[in-house]
Amino acid sequence: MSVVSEQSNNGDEVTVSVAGRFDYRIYESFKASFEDIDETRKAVNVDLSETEYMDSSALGMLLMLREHVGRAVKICLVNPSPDVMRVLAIANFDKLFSIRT
Amino acid sequence: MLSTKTKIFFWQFDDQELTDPELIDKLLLSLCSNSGISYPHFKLHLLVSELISNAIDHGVLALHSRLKYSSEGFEDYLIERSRRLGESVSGRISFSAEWTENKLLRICVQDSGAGFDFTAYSDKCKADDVCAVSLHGRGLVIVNSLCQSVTHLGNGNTVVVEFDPSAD
Repeated sequence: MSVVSEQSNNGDEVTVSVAGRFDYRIYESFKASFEDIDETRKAVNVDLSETEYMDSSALGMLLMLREHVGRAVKICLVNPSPDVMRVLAIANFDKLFSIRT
Repeated sequence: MLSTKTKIFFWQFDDQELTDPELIDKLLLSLCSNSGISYPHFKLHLLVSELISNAIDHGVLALHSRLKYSSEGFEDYLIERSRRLGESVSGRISFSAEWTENKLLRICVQDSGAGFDFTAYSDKCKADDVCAVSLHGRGLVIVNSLCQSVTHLGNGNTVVVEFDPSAD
């Protein structure tokens, strides 16, 4: 499992990639990945293409991210697998975040 | 509760065993091996993880769900959970499984905690369309969506679910 954070060339966007399991065990690295992001950014992309597993603790962490960056910053969940998408949909997160596949 | 005749799996965790970060992986491996279900299994992993997390958080550690299910409180919940698991933990969780006649996996999880008012939970949940994103327990919403049936027993410290591992 790993969390990697990268910013776009113009600095407008930050992409946080979560590989492997997205659960409470990556809490500290996930939090560290977005701590420096503030409302001057336009968007945060959470790349879920390598996310193999997600549970309710990951949903809580996505809400932490939402809370931290504020409503003005768009958060996009990118390329969730069908299993991960199912978890997002169960919790109605497809209504809270934009999802790009 | 499950009958002893058809039980395929029984595991009990006590005290410091509950703090093992690999607990759910060990439980899943053993459950899959005993039941013939292929491993890894995303939905079974999710189901077992949510059931055990609920039993640890609200049963053994007595963490309040208000912390866990608000975005402001979630970080406090994780810190408090980690702190309490680092201390001397006292409690027990039993986990058992059996196949039903119609090939569902019936899982029973019981914890040594004080339980919760499950009638108030289900009434509130039914009345609240956005239950899943509000303060009433994303974990239980996930469990409900994965299972054919979910029954709380006793004072709320026992849950019995029926799950179809072959469903998409």
